Amino acid sequence: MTSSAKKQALQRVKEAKRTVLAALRENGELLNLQELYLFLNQTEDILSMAVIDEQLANLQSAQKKLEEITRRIKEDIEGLEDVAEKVEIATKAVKGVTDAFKTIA
Amino acid sequence: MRMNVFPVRHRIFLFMATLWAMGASGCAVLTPSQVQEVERFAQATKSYDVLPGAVIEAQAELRKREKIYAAAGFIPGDTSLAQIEDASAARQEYQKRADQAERLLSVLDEYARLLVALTADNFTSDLQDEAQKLGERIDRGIGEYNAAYQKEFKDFGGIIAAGVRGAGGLYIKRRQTLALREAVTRADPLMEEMTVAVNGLLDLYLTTSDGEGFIRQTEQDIKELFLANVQGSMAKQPLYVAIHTAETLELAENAYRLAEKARAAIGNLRQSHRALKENLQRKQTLTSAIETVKVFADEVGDATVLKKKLSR
Repeated sequence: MTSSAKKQALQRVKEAKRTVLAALRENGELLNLQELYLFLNQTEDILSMAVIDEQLANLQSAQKKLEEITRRIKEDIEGLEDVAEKVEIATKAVKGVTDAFKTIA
Repeated sequence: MRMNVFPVRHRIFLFMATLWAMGASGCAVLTPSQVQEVERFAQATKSYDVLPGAVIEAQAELRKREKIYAAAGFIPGDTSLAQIEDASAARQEYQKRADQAERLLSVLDEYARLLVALTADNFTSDLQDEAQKLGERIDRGIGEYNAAYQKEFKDFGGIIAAGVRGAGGLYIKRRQTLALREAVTRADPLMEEMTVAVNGLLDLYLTTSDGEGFIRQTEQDIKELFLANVQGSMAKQPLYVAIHTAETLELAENAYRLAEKARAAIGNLRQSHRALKENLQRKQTLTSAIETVKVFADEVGDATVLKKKLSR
């Protein structure tokens, strides 16, 4: 069922529900009409959720791709942190040389 | 007398470091206006993730109330109980979708937060600290060497530190620019995709050229039910029913306004991202060239301060 078909079906269910409600107002509490109203109300939810789910699926598709980009940004950030860390490693290496001088002295 | 045996090497080192930094940077580094644009985007994105979910949730509550009005009004016995149970079950099913929308949209917040982190100053300030430690360590090493071998080599830790800070700072800013540009360029079509999906979702709730959305239709149904109940009872409704109905209609109005705001906000967010992308792709204008020069000058300034600090 296509998206527009679902929306059309939903619209028809809403219209039918209103017609049943109008009939109930005119004819009083007819059990068949009440059950039909209940059925249409449930169908309205089923179709509403189906069209919502369709939009959420579209959103999920974009979300997954954006998530991949955020993963890459995290890697870039780690790479930038590495620059300072490399200098730190150099400092430690120089400390090793300094310690060697101390030993000689 | 102290021996100044490395002046030529110092100069070569600084020259090479600067050349490397300039070459690596391609003379284009992250400018303050680009950072500002990132912050503007992050601001637009902040807390957006909860809005569409809140619209779904508000409409779920309206639907629940609509069913309860029907159950309380004109549906008797078992059918009425079934309607009440159905109202609660459907409410929960809608809530799952509201939560899902919020979860999916939280990626926007994460993305904006990471862009801000990517453009932060902490990478260069960390480098500043490490460069200072390196310079101090080198000077201490020279001191130890002079003491061990009775030499008088002049300290050059400050120059090394300044070179590392200056060249490293520019290198970091260049890497930040490239990473930011790549991320934003790649994300831009996805922002469009997300905007379309969010608009598609919100349009279900709003009145559009296709007609009235969920909120207005449910609001109308609730009014019809109220009238049906009044007619069914052949009398006035109790005060609490009238008050509850008024609150429900207020909820419907607020839900509609929220949906409108959520729609406008996703539009702003899309525009902010597009502006950010354009800012990052724009060819050097005089203003941006001046900004770039200022960034270079700032980096060199920081390096010089460090050199002076270590030369004391």
